[in-house]
Amino acid sequence: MSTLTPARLAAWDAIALGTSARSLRGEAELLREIETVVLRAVAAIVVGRGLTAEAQRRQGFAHAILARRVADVAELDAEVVQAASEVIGAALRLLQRALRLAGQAGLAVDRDGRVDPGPDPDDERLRLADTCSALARQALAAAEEADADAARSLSARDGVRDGLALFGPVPYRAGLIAAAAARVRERALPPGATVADRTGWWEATPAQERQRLLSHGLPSAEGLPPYVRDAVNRAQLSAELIRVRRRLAEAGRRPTPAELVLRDRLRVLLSVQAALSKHPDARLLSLDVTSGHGRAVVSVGDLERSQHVAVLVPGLGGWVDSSLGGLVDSAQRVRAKAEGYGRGSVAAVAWIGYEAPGFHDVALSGAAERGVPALRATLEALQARADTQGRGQSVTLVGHSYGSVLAGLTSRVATGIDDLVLLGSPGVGAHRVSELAVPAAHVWVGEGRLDQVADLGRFGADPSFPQFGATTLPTGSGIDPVLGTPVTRPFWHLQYYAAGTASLASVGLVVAGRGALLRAGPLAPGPFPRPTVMPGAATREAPRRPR
Amino acid sequence: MADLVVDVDEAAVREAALSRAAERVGGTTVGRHLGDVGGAVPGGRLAQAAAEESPGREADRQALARLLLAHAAAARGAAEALVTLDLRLGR
Repeated sequence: MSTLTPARLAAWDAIALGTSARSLRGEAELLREIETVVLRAVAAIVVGRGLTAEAQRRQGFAHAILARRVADVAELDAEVVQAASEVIGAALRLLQRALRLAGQAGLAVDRDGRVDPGPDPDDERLRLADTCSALARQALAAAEEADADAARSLSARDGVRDGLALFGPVPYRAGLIAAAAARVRERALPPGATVADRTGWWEATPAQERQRLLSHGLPSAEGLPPYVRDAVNRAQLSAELIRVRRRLAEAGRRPTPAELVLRDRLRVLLSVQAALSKHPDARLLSLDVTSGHGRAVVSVGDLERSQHVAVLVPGLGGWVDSSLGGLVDSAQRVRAKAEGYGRGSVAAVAWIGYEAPGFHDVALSGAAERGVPALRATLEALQARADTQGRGQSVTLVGHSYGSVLAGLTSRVATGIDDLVLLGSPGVGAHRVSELAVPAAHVWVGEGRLDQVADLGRFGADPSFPQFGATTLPTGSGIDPVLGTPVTRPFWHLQYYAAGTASLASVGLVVAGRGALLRAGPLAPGPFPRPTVMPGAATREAPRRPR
Repeated sequence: MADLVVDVDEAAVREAALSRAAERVGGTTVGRHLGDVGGAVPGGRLAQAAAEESPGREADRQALARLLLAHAAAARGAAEALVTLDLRLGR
């Protein structure tokens, strides 16, 4: 099969594909009715006794299941064709745009989608040729990929025909289709689309079209509403779980390296599923199980409407399978604490959007540097969505341990955050607070009494030193200045988010916009019992076994 | 005796329902719709896959229709046998 050319793509008919998809869906619905008819007929054998009745009952169930499977396949075929029609339709629009632009300038698009600017072109002509080339090649790549994906999906031999396998696995190809559609829709957005572009694109999409996009997969990129990203990522989570479990079920006794990777992936997926099950208001903002230890970002509370948002970034060993559950619990505690201070609603984000370091690379800044673009995108997205809706929302970025290195590096340029909280920080890649794009009065540094990590000063200066110029976040035992309840000092590196600690109260006050209450110095002393540690309360950072 | 009469009725109803179901499945055109896909994207991989797969989908549909017809025939056979028995018993 030769490569797709502009001429061949132009001959494709996305509308006809859509019509076929609708017809196939109609057939699937009819076949589902047949299943019901057969089941009713079987259910009518209520008085029948003896071997004949029993045999007919059994036969009836088998036929109903077969009808369902034929319907399943027709419906999946419909999905494949529908996804292909949408993607190919988008590709055709891109190609038409390229051809129109090129035609207006008297340029020709060759069979590879390239546009020759001609002899001695001026800058404008060069730029136009480049743009047309990029659009045409993008269209060709998108359509070719969609075509190949759809063909592969149609030919997947896990449908009814595998021996009319009545009780075999249910055919499942939706994940593949959704992934293909999502990839190309990502391309259908303007090249190099910013977070603000994405926000605007979604807001401008009619409600009916949004619904269709949601049902057929969509890039869950930063800038789209949390409910959209949650829906897409949860669908991906379910699809991945089915896919990975099926592949592992087919695995032999001696696992191959690929199957070992799948086992790790399953652990990541199950951790995400467990965290979501535990918190009914959680939104899965992003999910990626293909890179490193995986990525997952989960919010609790109403991210879209809350007046305050906290973004929690973990450190060493802050991987999805070992840490997401604990981090979401911590986010929930921070949210509840801050909301208890009565300055409006609060949402919190458990952010594992980077590959946290293990022991082998925790002393290096590479992991943090690589995480900066993703964290910056998250913060910009919060800002863009708040701006789009014309509402104010304060954002506090909270970095714990190595996570504070990433938070600090990200804050070297303006990201729209109001406060930066550094807990148990080994440094933030700066020697003075003035190197950060956050005012000194809004950079808070807290550390436990016996937290040695906080005194390392491995990445730039120790931010708790007065010369650094940040504001001290009170973490000593005392009285909560708003609630009047006793709070205890966190001792260890992993206790900052533990319930009842002064650090949790202080973080809550900053998040709620009541940091001014902390500037007076340590919390008022009070009679306290000895500090308590709630088992499992802190973010777990236990390193996972090496892979 | 009452049981037998009820069984006859049930079998007859079942036969009618299954015959209609078989007829409806026979009237569907899953394979043709899939075949149409090929015409929309000439020369593509999808067109090739659709051409290869549509006979299989059609075979599945026909197999289901045949099975339902067979089931309906079995129900009819049971009904007829019961009616015969009913007559022999002098009702």
